[in-house]
Amino acid sequence: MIWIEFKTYYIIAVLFWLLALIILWFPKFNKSKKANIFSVIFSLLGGVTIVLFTYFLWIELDRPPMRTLGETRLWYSLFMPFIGVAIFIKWKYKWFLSYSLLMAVLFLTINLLSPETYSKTLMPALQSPWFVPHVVVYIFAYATLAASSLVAVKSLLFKSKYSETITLADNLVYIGFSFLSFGLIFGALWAKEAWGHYWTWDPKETWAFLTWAVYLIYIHFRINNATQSKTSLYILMVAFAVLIICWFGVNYLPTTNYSVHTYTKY
Amino acid sequence: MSIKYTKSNHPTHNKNNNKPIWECPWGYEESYLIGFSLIFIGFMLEFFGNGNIAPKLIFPNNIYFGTIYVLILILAYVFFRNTKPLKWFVAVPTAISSLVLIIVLVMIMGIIPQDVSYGGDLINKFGLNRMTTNWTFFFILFYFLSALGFITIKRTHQLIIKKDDFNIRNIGFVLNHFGLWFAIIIAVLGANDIQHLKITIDENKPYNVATNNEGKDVSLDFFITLNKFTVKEFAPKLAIVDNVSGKILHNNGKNLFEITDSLSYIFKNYSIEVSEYIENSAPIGKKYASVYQMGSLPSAKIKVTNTLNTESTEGWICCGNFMYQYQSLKFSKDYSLLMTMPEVKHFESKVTFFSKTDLQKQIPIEVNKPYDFGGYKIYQLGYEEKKGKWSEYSILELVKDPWLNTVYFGLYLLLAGTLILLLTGKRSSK
Ligand code: HEM
Repeated sequence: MIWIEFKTYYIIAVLFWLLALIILWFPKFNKSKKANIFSVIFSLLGGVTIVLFTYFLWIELDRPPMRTLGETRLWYSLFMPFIGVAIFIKWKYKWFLSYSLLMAVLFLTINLLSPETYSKTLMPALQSPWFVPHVVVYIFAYATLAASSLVAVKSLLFKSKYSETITLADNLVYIGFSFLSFGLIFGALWAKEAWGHYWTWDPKETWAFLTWAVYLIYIHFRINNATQSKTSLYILMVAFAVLIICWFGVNYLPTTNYSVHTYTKY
Repeated sequence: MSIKYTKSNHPTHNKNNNKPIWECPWGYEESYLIGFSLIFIGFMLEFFGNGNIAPKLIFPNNIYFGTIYVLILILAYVFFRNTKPLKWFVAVPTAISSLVLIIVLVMIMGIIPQDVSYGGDLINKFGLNRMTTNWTFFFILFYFLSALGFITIKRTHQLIIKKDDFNIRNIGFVLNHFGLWFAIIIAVLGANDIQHLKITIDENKPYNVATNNEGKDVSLDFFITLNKFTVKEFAPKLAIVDNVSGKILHNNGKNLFEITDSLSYIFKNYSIEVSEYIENSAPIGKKYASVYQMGSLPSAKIKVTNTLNTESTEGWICCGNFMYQYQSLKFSKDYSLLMTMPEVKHFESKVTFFSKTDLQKQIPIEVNKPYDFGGYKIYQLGYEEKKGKWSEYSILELVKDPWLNTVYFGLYLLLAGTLILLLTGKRSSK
């Protein structure tokens, strides 16, 4: 079955990424200019491996593989290497590329260790043309915003240059937040078609709104560029905590039973 | 940017100035003080108001209210835009604090189930389980909308009068802020004009009476007849159950398989094989036979062989439903095989609508595919779940939201603004 194959894809992807990391960090290699090119190539090859797996999984399941938490983690791991490479090409941050690859590995490892039943069933409410754009846009936003929070954590821990950190964080938040807005509104338009109203303050919707609102605070807090205040970095970390509650945590809140859309457990 | 802040005059720097509170220019302290006072008053109104919930505006009062509110904002801006309170209202600290206050209330909503039957005395007294009709929410929302409204008016004004300001970023700004402001105002004020009706229909009878949320009958000016209701199901799944705990074994996620004619797999030292699968069947003695009638259900004949000693067990399993008992197969001291209830794949009502002027025949209505008729959007809502695919009726929902397109207009502007935000990125500093 499909899960057995996953191990193969997993190993191939992780090997590619390991190669990328070694080239990136080992003094022997990283002196030459070619090294950067090779680590980019290997990062991308690993990414493509996951794209292929996702593609075959989609075909095998005969539905978009976006229904369960594990499937959303798969998409996250799919986006991370590409986001990492894009940022690396633009700003040459080695640590950022490394982080992206490690996050991808982490999420894939969680999937490997706690496999879900790859059920083919898809409830009628999810059978909609909105399903794919809504989820893809959302997970892309999550991946970008998670990266912005990591930038903040790194800056707080290692005291890197504030102006450099905050520029990268701003860029990531602007991209991530735009996608978040799209995801939120797509979700509302879809809810109207599926359930008759675009906004019902369902727990998932409520937390999605909260996530959006906290990043909005960051954006407005950053309008004044004069200060070097660390507060913006703390806002990013709070925002990420809210995002995690929205993504995984909603399943554990007292309000869960009132939600029509938590991810299925199996 | 329109306002040029320097370190010394920027509102967010008030903290550093050790400015006495309420002395202009106002900043965060004053914003939060105002905000938390509103929250306090709101909760007091809830606590001592004996359940007098915030007013519900319906047409046409909502239009009057909305128009007057927006006019007040515009006039206040026109006449007082150079006064200190208005400068405070359009400043960033006010925007941030009003967002924080909204977040606080929405977070309560996200943690405490919004169900009036939930929670103890305190939750009920303060109306924490119905935030959207809470006075507090009402106040904070207006504080928030006013802050958003003033900055929108201001920047729109500048966009029009200042040549320099007419650039893509400022257009994006207006689209974002106006779109959000407009969508929220219309959605909030229009909320009570939305009609949700439910109608339960049997096959081949015309219906024109639906019930509203309060359970009152509402007669429609058209008729609905159900021509045919169909439910399609996914094939049921085969599960291995621990005889002692009664739990389904997960076996690394490789346990639940959709049952097909030729399914076979290995579990520990057992080889499990489906030798026959019947989608519609009924029990006859110890066996199941292919039957298509009310209540027939899936069943399968399974053979389990112990690969260690080649002993085998064979028998029928079936998932059970409102008419027939489920049947499992115990194949060892520890394990049994079970058929899970099939999940619903698709359900659909074919209906005919007719009014004095219009006739629409055999219209399929399914989840995610509502149909417009007689001013309503008509949704497939449910059916007789106990009977599953043998349900004898279908439940439709009729929704009339006269403000829908107006709200969508705001959302589309917001989307356009978001696109600009994505493409232009952050305004560079200095
Ligand atoms: C869709 C949601 C929103 C987006 C995308 C957004 C985006 C932005 C951006 C990018 C800026 C700064 C850049 C510029 O001046 O052009 C800004 C400024 C501002 N925003 Fe927002 N915002 C949103 C919602 C809000 C809300 C809800 C409020 C108020 C409650 C608000 C109040 C302000 C204020 C006061 C400014 C400063 C403008 C000035 O000083 O001229 N915004 N917003």
